Amino acid sequence: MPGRRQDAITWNQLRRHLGKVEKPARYTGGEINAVHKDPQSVDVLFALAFPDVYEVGMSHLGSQILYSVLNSRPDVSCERVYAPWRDMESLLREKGWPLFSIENRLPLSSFDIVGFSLQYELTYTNALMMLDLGGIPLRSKHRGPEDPLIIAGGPCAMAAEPMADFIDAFALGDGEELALDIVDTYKAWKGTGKSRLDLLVMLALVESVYVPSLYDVEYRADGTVGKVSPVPVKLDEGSYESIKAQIEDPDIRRSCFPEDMPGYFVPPARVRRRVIRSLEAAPFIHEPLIPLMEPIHDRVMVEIFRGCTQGCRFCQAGTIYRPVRERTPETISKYAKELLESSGYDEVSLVSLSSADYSHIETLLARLMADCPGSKVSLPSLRVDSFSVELAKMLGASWTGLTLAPEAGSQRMRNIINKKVTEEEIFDAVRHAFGSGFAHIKLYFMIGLPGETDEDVEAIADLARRIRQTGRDMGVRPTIVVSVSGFVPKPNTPFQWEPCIQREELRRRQRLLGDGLRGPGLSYKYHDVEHTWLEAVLARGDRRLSEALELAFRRGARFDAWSNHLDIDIWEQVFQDTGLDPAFYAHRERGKEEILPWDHLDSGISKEFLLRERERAEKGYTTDDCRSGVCVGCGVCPKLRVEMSLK
Amino acid sequence: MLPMRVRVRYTKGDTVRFLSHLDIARNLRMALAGAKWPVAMTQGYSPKMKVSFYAPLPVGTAGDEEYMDVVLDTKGIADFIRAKAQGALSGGNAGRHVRLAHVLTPLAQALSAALPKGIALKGLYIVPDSKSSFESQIRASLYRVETEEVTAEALSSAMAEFLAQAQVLSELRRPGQTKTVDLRKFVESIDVVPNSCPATFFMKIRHENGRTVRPQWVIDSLARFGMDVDTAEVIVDRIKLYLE
Ligand code: SF4
Repeated sequence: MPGRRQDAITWNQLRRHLGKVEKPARYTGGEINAVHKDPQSVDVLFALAFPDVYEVGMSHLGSQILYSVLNSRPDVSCERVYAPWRDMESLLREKGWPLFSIENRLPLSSFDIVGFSLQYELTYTNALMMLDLGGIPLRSKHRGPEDPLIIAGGPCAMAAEPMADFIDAFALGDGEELALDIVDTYKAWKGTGKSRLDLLVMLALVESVYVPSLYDVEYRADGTVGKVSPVPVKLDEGSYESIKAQIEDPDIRRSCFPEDMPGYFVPPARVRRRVIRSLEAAPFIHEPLIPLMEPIHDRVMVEIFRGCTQGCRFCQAGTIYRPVRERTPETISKYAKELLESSGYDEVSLVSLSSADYSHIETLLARLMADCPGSKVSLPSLRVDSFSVELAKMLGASWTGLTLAPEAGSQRMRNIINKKVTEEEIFDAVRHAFGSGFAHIKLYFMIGLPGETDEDVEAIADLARRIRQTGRDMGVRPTIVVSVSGFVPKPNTPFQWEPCIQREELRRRQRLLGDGLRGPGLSYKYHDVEHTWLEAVLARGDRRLSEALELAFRRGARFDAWSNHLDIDIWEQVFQDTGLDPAFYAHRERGKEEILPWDHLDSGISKEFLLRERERAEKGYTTDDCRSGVCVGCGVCPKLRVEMSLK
Repeated sequence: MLPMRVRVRYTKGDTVRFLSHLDIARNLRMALAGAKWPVAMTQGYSPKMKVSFYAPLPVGTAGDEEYMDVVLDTKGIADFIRAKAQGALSGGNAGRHVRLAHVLTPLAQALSAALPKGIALKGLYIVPDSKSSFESQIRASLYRVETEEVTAEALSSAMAEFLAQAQVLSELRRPGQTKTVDLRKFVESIDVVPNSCPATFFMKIRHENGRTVRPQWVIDSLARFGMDVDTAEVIVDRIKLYLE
C-alpha cells in the first residue's frame, strides 16, 4: 500500500512559481466537471497519467471515458496527471517538488494506482519522466510495498514489450470494464498485508491483464525471440489457497494452479484482449471535462462506433479494435444534444475510425441537424468517395476544406494496402467536392510502403496535380495540400513482418515526391524521417529496448513525438552504448516462423489471417470489409466470443 | 428597437489567475452560450458574439473588478425571459414592455450557473449602447502585490526611491521592437503595508488613452534601487478600477 503519503503541493506554493513556466494553466485544472474527492474518503486513489501535454491529453476521448467511469465509483477517486513541459519539469526539479495531480495536487507516488495511457510509442520517454518526477522507481523490480501499482493501457499495450520492465501490469483492449476489474482486484488486495507479488498474481488472473514480470523471454543467437514462457510463482500457503479459491472458471484453475505443482501459480500462456460487447450499453460521459484553457478542438465528442473492418493492411487501429460495434442514431443524437446543451460548445464531433461507414450516417446527420439546430457537426476520418463528400457538404464544411486519405498514389499500391478506392471514385469525389464549393483539399498519403517503386511515389504527385487540374477545369482555383508520412510496419497488422525502409531511402523518396509537387496551388508537407525511424524501432521492439529507453530518458529525451523536440543524437548514441542495433528492429524483415515479441498477447486476430492478408497484398488482391455481411475470417469474433453489432 | 447593451462585472479569481485574457474571454463566451443569453451576433461568414472586454489582465494576474459588455438581441430577450420565467410575464406584448428587473435577474442567474469556478459574476448593468469606449473611462487600476522575497522595510525604501524619481525609463521588449516607457509617470501611488509578511503593497497605476503599465514592470525596475525581486514569483491582484 502506498505509504509515502507526501503532502500535496499547496496552491500558495504553486502560484508563487507558475509565473515562470509557459502556459501555466496546464497545471492548474479547475475544468468544468472536474471531480474533486477527498482522498481520505475513498478506498482506491487512481492517477490517470497521460504522457503528453495537457492539451493533447484533454482532447483524448478514451481518457475522458476512464475518468468518468472510475469517478462514478464512490470508493474510487480518479485524478489526472499530464506530462509537464520541459520548463515545468525544471521547475519541479529545482523546487524538489514531485509531479502532482491536477485535482488535489497529490504527488504521483501517493496514489494507489497510476495508469498510463500509451497512445503512441514516442511518448514512452515521457512516461518514464513522469514516473521519475513522481518519485516512483522506474523499474517494476525496484518498487516496494509503498510504491503505487503502475499499469498501462491504450493501443501500445498490445505490443509494449519495450515498456515491460517499467509497467507492473498492462491492460489489453477496451478499458471501461477492465479498469474497474483492476480496481476491484487492487481493493481486494489492499489492506490484506499480502506482498506485492500476490497483487501481481491476482492481477494476472484478471482477464486481459498482462503482468510482464511473470514472463521470461529467451533469445536466440541471432537476436530473435526464442521463447516467451510464463514463470511459475511460488506462493505462500495462505495466499495460494485464498487466491485459488477466488477462481471460478475450472479451466483457469487447472491451468494456472496445476495439480502437479502444488503451491505454484502459473500465469496464462497468452493474454487475450478485452472487448466490450456493446457500445450502445457502454457507459457514456454525461459530464465531459471542459478545459478552461484553449483545447486543441473546441467541441464535444460522441463515439458513434468502435472498431473498423475496412481492412487497410497498414492500419493497427483497424485490427486491434475489432469488431465493429455501433451505437444507435437515437442514442447518439440524445447524447450529442445533452452535451451541446450542458457544455456551451457549438460543435459536436462524431468520433470513429471511419465515419462514413456508420450504418445510418444520413439518418443520424439529419436527426442531429433537427435536434441540435445551430450547432456544427464534424465528421473526422471520412472515406475517399463522393458519398463522404456529400456528407461533408451536408454539414456545411466547405469553408474548412476537405481532408481525404487515398494513402497511395497508384491503384497497384492501393490494392497492396487494401485501400479499396479506385481512381474513378477519387475523381468522382473531388469533382463532387469542387462542384460543392470546396476549394481546399488536403490529401494524406504514405510512402515507404511494402513493394513501393519510384513510379508509385511519383503517382502521388501525379494524382495531386490531376486533382488540381480537375478543379481548374471546373473553374475553381483549388489549393491542394499533400501530407505524407513514412510507413511504419505495426504489430498486429498484415505488414508486421515487413521492414521499414532506411532513412536515406525514405529521404530520397520524399525528395522525389517533392520534385513532382512543385508549382502553384500545390503544397507539400512531410513527416520527419527520424520520427518514422524511431517509431519503427520502438513499435516492434522487445524488452531489451528498455535499456535504451531508460538511458535515452536519463540523457534528456522528452517529447520525442513533437517535431523539433526529438533529439536523434541522443537515441543514436544510446543505441550504440547499449549495443542494441536499431536496424535489427526497424529494417529487418521478420521471418514467418519467427516468434514476435507480442505473440503472447492475443488481439484476437489470427496469425493465419494476417499471413493470408500479407500474401494477398503481394498478389495485389483486395479483401472485403466484413461489414457487408461476409466474414473474412480475421478470427476476432469467434476467438473473443463477440459479434459485430450494427444498429 | 435599439439593441440592449449589458455590462457584466465579474472577477478573475485566484484559481484562474493563470488563464490568459483570451482564455478568460473564451470561457465567458461559452458561459453566455451555455446560459442561452440572447447575444447579438456579428454579420458575415462566421458570426461572432457582440461582446467586448476592457483593460485585459495578463497571465498570472487575478482581478476583482473586471468588465465585459454584451450586446443583446432585443428580439431574443422576450424568448429568453419566456423560457426562464415560464409565464411570469403576461403574454402578448412581453417583448415590448420588459421591465429591467425581469430581464436582469434571470440573465444573472443563468450566467452565474454557467460560469466555471474561479470566474464569478458580480453585477449586471444596462448601459447606453454608445460607441464611445468604456476603455477610455478607465482612469486607474489599483493593484495589490505580494512578495515573499523581500521584507516590507526593504520594499518601502526601494519604493520611496522609485517615487522620488522624476522619470523611471524602462525598455519594453515587444516582438520585433523595443519601446521605452516612463514607468514613473504611470504610478500614482504606492503604499507598503507596514510589517506585512509576505511583504504587501498597493499600487495605483494610471491608464492614459487605454495605455497603462504592469506592476511587474515597476517591480522589475526596482533593481536599480537595490531591490532584486523575481517578478515571476510575485502575486499580483488587480482589486479595483477607477472610472471617470
Ligand atoms: S471475425 Fe469476421 S465478422 Fe468478426 S471482425 Fe473478423 S472478419 Fe469481421
